Amino acid sequence: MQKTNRESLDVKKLGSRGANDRLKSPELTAETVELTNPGSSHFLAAGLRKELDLTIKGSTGYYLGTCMDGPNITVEGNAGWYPGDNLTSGSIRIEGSAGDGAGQGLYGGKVVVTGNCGSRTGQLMKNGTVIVGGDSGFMTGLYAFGGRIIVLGDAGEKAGESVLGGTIYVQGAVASLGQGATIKETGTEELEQLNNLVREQKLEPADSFKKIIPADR
Amino acid sequence: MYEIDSKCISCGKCETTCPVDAITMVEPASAGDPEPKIDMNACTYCGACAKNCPVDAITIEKSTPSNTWPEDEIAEIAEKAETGSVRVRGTSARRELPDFDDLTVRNAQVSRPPIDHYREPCETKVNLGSRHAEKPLELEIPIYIGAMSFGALSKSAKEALARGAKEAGSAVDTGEGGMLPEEREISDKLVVQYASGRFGVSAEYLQSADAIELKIGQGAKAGQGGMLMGDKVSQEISEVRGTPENTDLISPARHMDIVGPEDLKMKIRQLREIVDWEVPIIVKFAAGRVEEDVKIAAKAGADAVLVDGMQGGTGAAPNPTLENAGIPTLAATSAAHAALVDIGLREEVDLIISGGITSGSDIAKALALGADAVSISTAALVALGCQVCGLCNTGRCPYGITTHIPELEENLDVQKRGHSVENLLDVFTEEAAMLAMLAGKTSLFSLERQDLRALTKEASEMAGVPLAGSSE
Repeated sequence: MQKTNRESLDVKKLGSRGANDRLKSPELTAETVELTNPGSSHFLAAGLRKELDLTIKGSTGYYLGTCMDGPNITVEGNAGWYPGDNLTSGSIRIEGSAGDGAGQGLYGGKVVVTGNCGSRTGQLMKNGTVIVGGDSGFMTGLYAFGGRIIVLGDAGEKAGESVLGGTIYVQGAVASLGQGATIKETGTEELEQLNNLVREQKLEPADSFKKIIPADR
Repeated sequence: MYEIDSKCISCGKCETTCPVDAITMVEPASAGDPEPKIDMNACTYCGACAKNCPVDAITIEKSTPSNTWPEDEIAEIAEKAETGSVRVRGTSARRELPDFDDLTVRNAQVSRPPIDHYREPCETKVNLGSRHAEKPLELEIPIYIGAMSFGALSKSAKEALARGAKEAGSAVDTGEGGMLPEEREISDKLVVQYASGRFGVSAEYLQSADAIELKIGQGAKAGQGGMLMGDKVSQEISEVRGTPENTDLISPARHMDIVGPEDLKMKIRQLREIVDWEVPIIVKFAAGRVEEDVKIAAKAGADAVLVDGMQGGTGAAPNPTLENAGIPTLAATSAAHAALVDIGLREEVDLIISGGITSGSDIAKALALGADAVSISTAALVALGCQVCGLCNTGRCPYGITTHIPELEENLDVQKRGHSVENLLDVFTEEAAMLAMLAGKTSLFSLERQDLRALTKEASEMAGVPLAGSSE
């Protein structure tokens, strides 16, 4: 069914708290919402539990979509630290780069960063998927309990540090492995499944992935 | 001392109920029925065997032949030598520490009149977290049940605590393990914990809370993260926590996104945005560098700070941490109060104290030293039948409190024990009120430092209270 009901909110006028109030308000019935002038504001869409498509026309600050459950967000810019923190369901697509901790504590849904990510991507993840179109920094997947992280570029030092579960797939170079992590091969069928996810995001599929998992798995 | 007398019928119940497998039924040297054989190095004197013996044939009594080499230490050394591992156990520090018993309340006589406890009322209601929250935590009494997770505790224990708290007009804290649906359903007021492992955290979890406790640390394992051993991570617990089954769940020692004061400020603001600024944010610390931590939390925007002293309890922690890290609750209470006064935020930020609170008189003294409320945990477990044996981490609690084995959990009667928790909260409140009124106060919150005197020099210095017999 086509969603036709649209609304536009100016973050510069409302502030992040005002924008969040409006997004959460039962009076907002639009299924498609646009946030203009985000000005790298923090906490946008924090705790939002609605089925809606949200487009942010610019860059965002810290904790974009923290604890969000349901919405699909597209950021036409970069994001600060911890986008998608504790996401339960829905998705965040950042058409740029993100700071540290993208997808931190993810429980479900998807966080996609088409550019590069800072350190500790997907730390403390329990489930869900993080896709990084470029490189991911230091300690990718730190303390992860589950879920999967797909890095199409390189991974920084100590990838998979202290992982207890989950899988980190890296197409490019892995600077070094973290404590408690090991590298295995990715099978053909698994590679195809991963590339289907990558294609869905209009990113270039990989020729192969290094698969980082807990050493005792 | 451990004795099995001639009433023993060789039923083997002691062997099956021993949570540490210290008892083995062996064939006797001569003819006869099997007899229990006790491994005294493994025995923790929990009393499960004696309690479950159908003919009362077992007598168990701890004796200490040497102060230098008490039985506990000998057993622990032997255990280290055998296993190569640090001992992990439950409950709290066992060493002697200065506490609220080292203070006494100065009663009123002629200089001010006492209030008649049996005829006049005493104010006990408290609102916590009104600094920024639109809906402060309103409690009938200044005592609530502290953070103990579903996982560390059984479902029955969590339900009984929630029932007791509700009936007493109080609150219960989820602990670090997500929210058991039954706990939310039963509770009138629910504090949800947000800890470094982020187990079970979601918008639904946080938005269903009456207050959020941002746990930085806890007194029992100061400077370390939560710990739930894999044996206790059942399917239901793994679903609530969003983690794999039977995996050790050891939370990081710090929040991975809080490494300084500015990060704490961001975290508090983040939580406020998720809950639309409605409910209080309580920042919980293990008492260590109390003054600095309290000041930072208060300046970062906390509605309340909870300082958990060295006597705080746990379901599992390394023994060296339990016994050798942190600051006693008595000292921490005074230090936290002084820190808030020092930065001019004493009126705005509420102070909650926990760790080894064993009576209403402890509560009265904590309030006099500056606390606005206390949270209790081990005492509430004692109301459920806990013997404080420290075997919580084994998952084989014979009283059904820290176990997920259905046959053991059946030993906990939720209705009956819920009522016991209610009784305990009522009596603690009455005891505290009794002391306030004999000091001439009509409100628990009118108690003040001047109402106290110290019985030891150590307590005097730690609490900043004059020695008994001295003037101000």
